[in-house]
Amino acid sequence: MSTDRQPSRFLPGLGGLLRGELARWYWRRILAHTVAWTLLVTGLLWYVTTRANDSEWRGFDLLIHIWWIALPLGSIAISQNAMIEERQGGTLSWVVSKPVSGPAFILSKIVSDLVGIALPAVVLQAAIAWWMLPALDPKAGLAIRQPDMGRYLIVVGVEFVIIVLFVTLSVCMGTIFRNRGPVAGIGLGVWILLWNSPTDIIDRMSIGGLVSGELSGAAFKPLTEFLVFGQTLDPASGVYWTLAWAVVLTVVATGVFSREQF
Amino acid sequence: MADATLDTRDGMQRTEANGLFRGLRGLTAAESTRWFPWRSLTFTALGLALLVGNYVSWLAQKDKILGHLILSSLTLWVLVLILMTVAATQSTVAGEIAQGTAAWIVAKPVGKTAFVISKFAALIPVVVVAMVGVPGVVARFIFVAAEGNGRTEFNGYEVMRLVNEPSARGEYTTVPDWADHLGTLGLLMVIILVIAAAMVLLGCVLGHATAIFAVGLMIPIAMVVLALTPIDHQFVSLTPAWLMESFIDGAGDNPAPVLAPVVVGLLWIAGLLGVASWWFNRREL
Amino acid sequence: MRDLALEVRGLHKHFGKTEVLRDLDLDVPIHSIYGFLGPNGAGKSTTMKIVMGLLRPSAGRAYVFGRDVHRDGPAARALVGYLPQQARFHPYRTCREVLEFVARLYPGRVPRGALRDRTDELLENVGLAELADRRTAGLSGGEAQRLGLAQALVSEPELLILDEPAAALDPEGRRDVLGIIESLRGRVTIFYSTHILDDVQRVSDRVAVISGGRIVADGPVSDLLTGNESTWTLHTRGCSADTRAALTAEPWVTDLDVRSRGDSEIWSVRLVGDEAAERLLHRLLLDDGVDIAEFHTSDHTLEDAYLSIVRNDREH
Repeated sequence: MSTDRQPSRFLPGLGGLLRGELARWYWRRILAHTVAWTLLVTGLLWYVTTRANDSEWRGFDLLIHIWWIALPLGSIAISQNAMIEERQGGTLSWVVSKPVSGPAFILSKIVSDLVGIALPAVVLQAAIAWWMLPALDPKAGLAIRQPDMGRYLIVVGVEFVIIVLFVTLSVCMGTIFRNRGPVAGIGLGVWILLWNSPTDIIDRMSIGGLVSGELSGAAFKPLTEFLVFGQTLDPASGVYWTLAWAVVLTVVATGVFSREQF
Repeated sequence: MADATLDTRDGMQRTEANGLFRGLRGLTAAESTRWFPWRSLTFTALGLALLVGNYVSWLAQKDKILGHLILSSLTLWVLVLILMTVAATQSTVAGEIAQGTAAWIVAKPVGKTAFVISKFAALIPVVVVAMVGVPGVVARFIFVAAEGNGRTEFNGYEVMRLVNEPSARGEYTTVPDWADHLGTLGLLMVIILVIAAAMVLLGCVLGHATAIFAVGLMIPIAMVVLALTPIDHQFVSLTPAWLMESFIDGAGDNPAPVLAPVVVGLLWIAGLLGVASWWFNRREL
Repeated sequence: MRDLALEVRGLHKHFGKTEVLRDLDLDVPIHSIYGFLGPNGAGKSTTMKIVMGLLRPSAGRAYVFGRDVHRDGPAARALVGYLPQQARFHPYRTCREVLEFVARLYPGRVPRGALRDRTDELLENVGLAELADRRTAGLSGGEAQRLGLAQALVSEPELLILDEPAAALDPEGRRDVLGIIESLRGRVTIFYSTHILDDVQRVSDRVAVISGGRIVADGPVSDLLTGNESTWTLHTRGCSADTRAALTAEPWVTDLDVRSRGDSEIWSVRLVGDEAAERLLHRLLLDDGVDIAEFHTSDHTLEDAYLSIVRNDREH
């Protein structure tokens, strides 16, 4: 035995931790999530659109609306466990007694949840909706015409950013609090705040301004207008700000976690 | 439930509840310490902050329409309360099972049913006083204060406008009297308690925190969807969604029943807790 | 520093106003089997947790093979296998998956192709071969402890830190653990805490005793056993109360324990000093009220030495 086999200087333990975390997702869990998300997103989309009158038909706007409800709630439900489950199960101290760094541990939690949620909830549902929505009503008007693929990929990216925000927020809160209640509660509070933001500043500094709004009346969500009506992505700053918030939350999480004693 | 008289070593006779509910009082008192005072104060502060924040936001609007303030305050508040209830109660039973403390407690001379019921019973004062009661009373004073700001007086010449534009109804809303307001608060209390009872049941039945939370979120969403979807009212009136329907109607200054939905809600609570107790009693810990 | 696997210097730790460790120094030589003894709450687990980077010291430093455990934590921990006092694992993993998960956290330690053989071998060694594919949620306390030992060994560590490794084990499991520790002698440094002093006497080269947050004795086991104390056993008959009282007052008697058996008494007397036994015998022979049926020395055990050290520390 020698003492020269050392862990990587950059984020030691990340590879092993990430493999371990991702291993939780395949295959039973990812299959269960695929079924659940498909029922929730595609099922609801299909149910509503096949029963809607022409005047109520909102196509991709409805998809974006469902995503805006389902993705934050799903991300909070899943990621609130990331730290709390390990802490309450007593495995947190066991894992960090191995040659792993705090940032690697936090990143492994975030990345694995991002992958585990994004694949069945966004990527798969986006692919289904791409084919399903225009096929449901060939008489479709502007709101449901087959959109530009490039723009659609940007929309999918924006939806991914929603997951990034709520996963990093939940993981960060999980490093600060010891129970699921406040972790989930703060996530839900942020979601409601972004949906009902009292000022324009919050809309410009978060993703809420692009995707939130009611599913009624003549107005479409800004992201729908970008996708279907070819308008500019406004406020695009919300995407950059949200990614910046995610970085801040990750840094805070690693900072708090590195100070934790077991 | 029969009571037993026990002779104790000190020669005193003490009466103890037998069977399923044995230990309920002590367990409820112990569980209450989790909620009082800090968590309860947090709920109260959150509700007050939301109502005041919404009022301040309303004051900044050009058209200060009282009906819009009441509707937005109450709907936003019920949404926040529901989500906070799901978040706060998701671990009350499941957390104890996962950490082994449930097995430790039911190994004492207490009934398993008492353990389950105590989780719910401890929440009742939290919901009635801290979550709904205090902010709800303050809310009415806010509405009264807002009444002087830009209220549109209703007169007979404006009837035709309402016929042609039903959504304008909010412009003629006046502050509900205390009886109506307390009725709305009562509906809200029972809505929250139904969700809390459902969370207790989920905690007894499901093992995984994500599943409990996700299914828990589905319950209020289902209530809202049922309340807002134009489906058979007879069906809705058999479900807790009737509470939500009445609450939304009341918030919009429409006539809405209170007593009947509350009775249906209480029956649902009894049923949910009954199933939870039955499940927990046959469960191996 | 080069011949030390673990070096602790001036370690202090307090939780609020409670001081748990006070200026603790410790040197664990490479390839030694080092027992870490002390009463409950003395600071054994706290010391180990600081070494593993799970707690921050209030003052002082700890080094594993010369690497500062706080400045260079992952590099230091890469050389260590650790078994915590209460072994906990992810309930959704099987025993084999736990070992594979841990092995991946030590890059380069176990080649990918050899992982399966390594986990099989370890599970066999700790008696869990039949439970390899069972989820850890269903393990008993003893089985979890065995798996804990296996996961500490999976990376082929240079230093093994075991916090009460035999605490939850049945006699067979305890024997197996001692066997594993013995089998690693000369190849791996083992630093372990325990309350089972027989085990320490059987396998340890060196021992440190911690009491009240500081080391009160430290050295080879043989040094601790050859102190100037001795224990004598007497079987007596007759009235002995006055004699006992007089003996207890003597400075060369450190402990006197009496048990009744029928009409006789069994005395266990701990003495200090070279001629104490002669003095005791002389004293008893002069006492008409006491008949001596047996008078013999008992082996001086590590338990005697440990109790004496801890008692002396408390008195001072």
